[in-house]
Amino acid sequence: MMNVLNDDRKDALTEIMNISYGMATAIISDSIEAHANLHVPKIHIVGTEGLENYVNSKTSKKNNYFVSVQVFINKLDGESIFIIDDKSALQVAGIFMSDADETIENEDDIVSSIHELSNILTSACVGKIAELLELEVFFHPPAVDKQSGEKIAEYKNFENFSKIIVVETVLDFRQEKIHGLLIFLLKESSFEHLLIALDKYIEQYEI
Amino acid sequence: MKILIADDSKIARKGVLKSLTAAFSGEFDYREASNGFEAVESFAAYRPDLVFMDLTMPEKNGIEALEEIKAMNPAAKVVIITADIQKKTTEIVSELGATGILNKPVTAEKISQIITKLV
Repeated sequence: MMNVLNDDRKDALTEIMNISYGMATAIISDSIEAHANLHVPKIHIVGTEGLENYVNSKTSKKNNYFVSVQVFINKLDGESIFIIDDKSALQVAGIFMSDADETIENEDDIVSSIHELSNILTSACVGKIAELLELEVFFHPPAVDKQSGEKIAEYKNFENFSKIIVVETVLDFRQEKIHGLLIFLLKESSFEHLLIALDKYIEQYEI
Repeated sequence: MKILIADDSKIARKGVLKSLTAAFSGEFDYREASNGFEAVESFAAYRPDLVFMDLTMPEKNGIEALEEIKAMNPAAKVVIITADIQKKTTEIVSELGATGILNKPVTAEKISQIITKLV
């Protein structure tokens, strides 16, 4: 087995992410009673050595960001990082809080909203991957932190991971486009499980 | 029967084709489109009896493509296949005249149910 995400595997993974995003969007739109437009997620694979440059290319040193980190374990073993700039984070909080007839009083309200959003996205994406690929996975709760743009790519545990899947997200609620980066860091053994499972997924559609 | 399968994902198109092969005993010819723009062009040129179309596609999304196809032929049979499971989306595509909506991932059973209704 070639240890790479070739075009067919990438197509299958994108399709699974698309299904996952459909679920996540429905969960959010149901909870805030607003329709959302679904966009095709863009997926990139980068090595651990390339993540810093990639994240830097998608973020600005001038902005501040909310970063949500969530650990998942079992056959899919890794971490997800959701990065959203503070302006988009405020929009997210506005959407979640206004639906609950509450106003944003402090940064904790924004952190709480990003906690909720990132948990829904990670659970939907990793959970659906696990379900469709018949792999079990367990989630730890996310931890949300505010970071400056200059520190955004200085992530602590790169050496524990070998492959990184980046999903560029656009959530489009009430005419507000909310951009975020969802990054999955996988350990080598998990990436191998993922490739085997993707091959099985592709095979089932061969005529 | 002529069928057009429009989806930006190759594996999703294969999934529809395989489910169709399993669910439909009759003969059919098919074409594929990988975005909404191609779907509209292919519909005009190929004149399929049935279209299976994704909603989230690049260039032109499935809702725009559905509108254009229905403008070309109000009787066109277009089945939407989508990962978007929001009720509002179902309402929008129904109002635009979609013949049916299937949630992804498609299965032979789902395709069979819709084919039985339509053919």
